[in-house]
Amino acid sequence: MSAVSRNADGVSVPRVGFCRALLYHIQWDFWKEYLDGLGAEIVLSPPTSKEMLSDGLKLAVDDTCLPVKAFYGHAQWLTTEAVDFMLVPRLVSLEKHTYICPKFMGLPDMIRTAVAGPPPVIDPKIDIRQSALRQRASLMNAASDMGFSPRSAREAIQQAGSPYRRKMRTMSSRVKPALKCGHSSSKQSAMKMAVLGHPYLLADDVTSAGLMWALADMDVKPVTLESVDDEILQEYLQDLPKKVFWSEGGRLLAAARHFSRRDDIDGIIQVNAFGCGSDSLLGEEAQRRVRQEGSCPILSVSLDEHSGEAGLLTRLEAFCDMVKRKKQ
Amino acid sequence: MEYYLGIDVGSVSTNLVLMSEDEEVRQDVYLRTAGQPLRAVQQGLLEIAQQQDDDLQISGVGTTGSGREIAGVFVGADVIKNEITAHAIGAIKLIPDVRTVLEIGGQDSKIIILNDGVVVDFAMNTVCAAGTGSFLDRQASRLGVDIEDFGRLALQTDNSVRIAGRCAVFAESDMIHKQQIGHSNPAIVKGCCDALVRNYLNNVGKGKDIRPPIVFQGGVACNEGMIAAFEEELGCEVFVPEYNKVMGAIGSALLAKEDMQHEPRPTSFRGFGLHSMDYNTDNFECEDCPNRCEILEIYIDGDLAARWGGRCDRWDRTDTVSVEEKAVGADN
Repeated sequence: MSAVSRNADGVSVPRVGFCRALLYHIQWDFWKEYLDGLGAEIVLSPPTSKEMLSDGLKLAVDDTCLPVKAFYGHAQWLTTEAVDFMLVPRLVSLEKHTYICPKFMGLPDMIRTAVAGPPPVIDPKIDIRQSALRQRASLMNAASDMGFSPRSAREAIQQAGSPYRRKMRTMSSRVKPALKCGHSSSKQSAMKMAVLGHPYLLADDVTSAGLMWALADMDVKPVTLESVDDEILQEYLQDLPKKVFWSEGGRLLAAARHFSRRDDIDGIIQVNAFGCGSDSLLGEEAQRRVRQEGSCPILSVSLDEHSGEAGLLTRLEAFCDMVKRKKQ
Repeated sequence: MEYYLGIDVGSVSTNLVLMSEDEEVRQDVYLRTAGQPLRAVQQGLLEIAQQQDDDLQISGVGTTGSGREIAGVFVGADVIKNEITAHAIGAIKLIPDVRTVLEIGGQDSKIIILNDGVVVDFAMNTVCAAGTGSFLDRQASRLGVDIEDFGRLALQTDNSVRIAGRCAVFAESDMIHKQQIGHSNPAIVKGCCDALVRNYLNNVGKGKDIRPPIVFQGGVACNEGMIAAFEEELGCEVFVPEYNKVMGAIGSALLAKEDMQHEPRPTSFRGFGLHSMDYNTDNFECEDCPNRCEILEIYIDGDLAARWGGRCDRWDRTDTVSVEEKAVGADN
């Protein structure tokens, strides 16, 4: 099945594939430490390319969002890399009393049924609603399924820490390369705008249709929810009439309310994945609340495989013009 | 007298406006794009050159519309701006206290909400072009009616037939069905206008704060049936400006003037001589990095005039050579 890899001691180690999509953008730090701790050889798929996306579109079920479709393309890519296992964690809940999008729960099963001849899919369950013991057992079982000893599994879990800590990364680091090579290198960013969308959508240049690059070209400094303290977000979630049970969607709603009250933010750009359940409900709620709470301009764009880049650019440009003229 | 040129290259029509320094429209040209945006721009330049004096002085050029980039590099535009901003600026010029702009063009429709002469909100149709000019065009030719008379037909009756306007394909099936069961053409056309207005207000206009004064512009604003349907649905007068078909071009000329006065510089306009020059475009994929940018090139009379489309400036070359300079170069 595979070209056998060996570690420094000449012992063969399994090649484990991981998709650079969806949960990669939320918890990769944890899974990398876990796999490193086990001593596996990691095969990470490259950043989404147009070919990978079109592969994914052919394989995926119709009614998923674009990032999920891209995930299929990544899994397909891994099948050509002679990996022994594909690690597709089953994310259920990352915060107490909440769930993550159900597509994350079904991901391992979706990949098993759709991708041609996949290597065995290993699907440890990440669910903070379960006891610590059961969470640990899930990671132990996954290690054992890949042929690692209980001892190395214990060490790996120790090393990786908790899967529930969030990867704190601000969008500015992602935009830097754009500024370096783009057209606006010398100018100071004229406007600061909050860009709100799932990290797996925004951080992927292909699924986000180059939105971050386009903004850099338009002299906009994007700010994302990763730059906001969790405590602040929690505060905005508390005074809602009903508890939001989608953790990620709730964070976006809270961030929209937070940014709309900040004086240094010139506008809010809401980026939705077409077909995303939580976006369609909470995105709408966020828009209404922002409009109610004040005069912060908000633009909502929806992305799917049919979005033309031209239409997106026109809207972004018109929105930036609108904000700029208003300021003058 | 100095003049400014505004060019709006849309999916269906290409419009040019020659505007004087004191913001009066000296000439407007409305042409069908017919799939060849640069050909249409050339034709427009020719029509202006034929009607105006030879020593016409152009101080700035603006382009807008979906073909704004290519038209901009072709003519050597000073300002290249999106059609939402251009349409808003055009509307404010003609009706300074406008609060709502309804704009329906060949393949897109938009709504712009203004307050004190500043855009505060807007929306544009997304993947669906139901209810735009090309749909009306198609229905007119299917019924064997000139598009110019199509809207007037709707005014001949008080009876409207209920047409499903959610999707252009289904609307057409519905219209055919209503014909087959014996409804008159005027009633069907009126039903069609009502359906399109409903669709527009529920999609593009969803959640928007629509207040008078309302301006209706774009090619579809020539359709009396649509104007009547909007007035009925919104319950107030809908104002169609004199230059409704070329509002984008007017806005674009105004933007060019504003920018040239803000930052005075010589225009990069290549000159009216462009109308008779040969051009061709080419494209290739840059393989220098994984971005794989699609690079476009335009050649005017065999010489590379501009290259664009990359994320970095590796291939950029937008230095414009005026027609006169080129002519001098050719003589030598």
